[in-house]
Amino acid sequence: MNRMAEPKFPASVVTATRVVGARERVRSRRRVMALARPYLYILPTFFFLFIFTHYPILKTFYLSLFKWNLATPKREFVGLNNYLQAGSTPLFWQVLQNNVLYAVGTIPISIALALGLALLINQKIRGLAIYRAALFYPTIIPMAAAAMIWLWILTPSYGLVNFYGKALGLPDIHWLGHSRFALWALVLVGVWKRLGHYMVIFLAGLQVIPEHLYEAAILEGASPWQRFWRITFPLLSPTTFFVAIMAVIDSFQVIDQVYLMTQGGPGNNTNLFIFYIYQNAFRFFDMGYASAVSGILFLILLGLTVLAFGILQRRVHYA
Amino acid sequence: MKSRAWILVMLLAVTAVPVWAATEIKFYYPVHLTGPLVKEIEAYVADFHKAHPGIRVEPVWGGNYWQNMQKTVAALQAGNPPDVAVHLAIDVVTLRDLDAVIPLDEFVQREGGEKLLGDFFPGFVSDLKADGKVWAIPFQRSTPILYYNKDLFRKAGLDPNKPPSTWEELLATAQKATVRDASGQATQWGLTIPDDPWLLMSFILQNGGRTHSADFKKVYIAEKPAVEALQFWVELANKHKVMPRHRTFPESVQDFAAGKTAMLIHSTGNLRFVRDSAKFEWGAAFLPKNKRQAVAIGGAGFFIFKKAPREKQEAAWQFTKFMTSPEIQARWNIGSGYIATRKSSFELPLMRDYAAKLPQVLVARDQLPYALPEMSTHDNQKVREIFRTHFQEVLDEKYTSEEGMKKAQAEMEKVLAPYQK
Repeated sequence: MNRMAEPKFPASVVTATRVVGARERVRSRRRVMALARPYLYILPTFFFLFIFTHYPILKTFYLSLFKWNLATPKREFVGLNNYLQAGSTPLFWQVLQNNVLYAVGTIPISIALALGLALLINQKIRGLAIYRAALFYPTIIPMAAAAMIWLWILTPSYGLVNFYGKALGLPDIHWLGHSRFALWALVLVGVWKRLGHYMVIFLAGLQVIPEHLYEAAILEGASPWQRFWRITFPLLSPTTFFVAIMAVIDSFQVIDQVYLMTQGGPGNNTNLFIFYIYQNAFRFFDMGYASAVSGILFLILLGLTVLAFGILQRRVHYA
Repeated sequence: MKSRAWILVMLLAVTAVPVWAATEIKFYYPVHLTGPLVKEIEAYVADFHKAHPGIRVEPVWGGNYWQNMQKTVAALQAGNPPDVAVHLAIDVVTLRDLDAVIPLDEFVQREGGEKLLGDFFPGFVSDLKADGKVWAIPFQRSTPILYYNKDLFRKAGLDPNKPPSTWEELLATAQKATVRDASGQATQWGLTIPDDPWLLMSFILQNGGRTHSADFKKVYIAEKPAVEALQFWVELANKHKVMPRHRTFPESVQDFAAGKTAMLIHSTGNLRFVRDSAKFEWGAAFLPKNKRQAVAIGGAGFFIFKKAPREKQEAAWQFTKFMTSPEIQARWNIGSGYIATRKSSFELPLMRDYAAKLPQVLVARDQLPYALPEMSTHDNQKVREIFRTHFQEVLDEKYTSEEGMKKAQAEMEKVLAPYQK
């Protein structure tokens, strides 16, 4: 029996296959590179974001499952106990309520005022730069300095507000030490401090609205009121949306004001979320509980942001 | 660009040149009145360097008492605590719970034991002891005293040399010294006290009450003497309206300096501020008594940390000894108002001259025989915060004195439950 002849490919075919294989490899390497390139570009940013933002968030949730405080220096796994503890602590609910009041007090007023002021200084008037600088300046000065100024302005008896208030026949009120007014004094300072920042964002939004739309509207005889509601407001909606989300987050993240002006007092009337977390973590060294409250705040903010995207974004016009 | 690089090089050179063979120790300390008192401490450190060239102290200002404590605890958790630090006497419990500090008996023995401790005022030493050991050396100690404005006393027809000495007199004097406008609103208060538990404690003690147990595991603020003391306070503010409800420590001392209140109950630690800013004749007196003469001690001591290597602990002791010496204590009393912790400080010519010019500084020292420890427990910060908030809510009439203290007592017991072994 003859041995079966092994199939033999001509040499050229063999080389061709090899060449094609190499080309394939090069091409696929290129494809991989092309796919990887964007990831490489974001890698440095992601690296820092991960270390300083994502990792701490994950770690916070992890720590929130432990009891870890002065009475229990070696941490102990307790599951969701810290969350249950927050739910059954009246102070936690008071803090939440205070913060919601603070948000309700600051957000609509600061947005409305910022928009109004942005409209005013978007016009061609004399001394524009001065107005813009004057309105923006509370944003520039640090809260620490601003708090000192406001502490002085709101001082009982001889602070500016009470001094002139008395001349107008108003009673002498200890704004920051009064159980009913202290939170609203913080709201006032919060609005004052953030107004300039929101105003500048609105101003930027106003300036990209094309001028010809207004020219056309004027030709059609639209009143200023109509021009605002039919052109400015809809076309400004992406900015408004952005400012609104910022304002919500800002109002739940306020701490410097509380720390510097009231320390949460009198009683717990001005104790807000981050201050409460700070107190538990760094004054009481109750890390597990503080982590759980941080986790709750994270979920609240996430929820509000998702809600805002769901509800408001449908009304946002991107020109 | 080039010049900037040069500056960098120079900075590196300056900071990198070590003082050879010197033991370096890190020192955390708190003071309230930042500007002048930080300078004061830094001057002592400079003098210490002159006397002990082999040791370099790096002073780190940590804010107020509890901010400084927070700094130390954070440093402990990071595994890099200070070698020596000033913390409140009531932090003895927490620092021991954290196993952070060492007892100082060995060092004290070396310096003559009781002979050394005997020169400190006994009230200052006793609250730095626990389990029969000495955990810190007294420094920056204070008690509340009664400051009063003699000019406003005269205006109200009161004897400027007879400050009130009992609760009834305190109320009567405050009523006379309160000035009201046509609508009945006070334009000048008779009395101002910061609404802080530390000051309420003195009233509880004066009323024959107690605040905490010797093992730091129990509190007694819902007992009758405590509730009555709070009620007296509440009535001063809400019924007689001779005192504002809420004032912080800085606000109240500013009110006094501005002549907005005739009397002020405040820490001796502010005596320097009053001395420098009051533009009127003022006096100082003991706190008024009720069932007994009493006052709650505040303030701190020098702690040495466990994690420091032996040679640093030795250096830290040298520094502690220096800072609590009669001479530095006299200078600190003059510079701040905090009571010199050593009896012999008051014999120094420096202190005698000062007291001759300003006899008010001796009031706090003479009140010391009546001084008792302030409230001190495990998890002290949490317990203190519960006390503060409930106290303020009672002042705001959210609860009656009794309800408020019962609620606070219950919450404190919850915090202290894990320690009841």
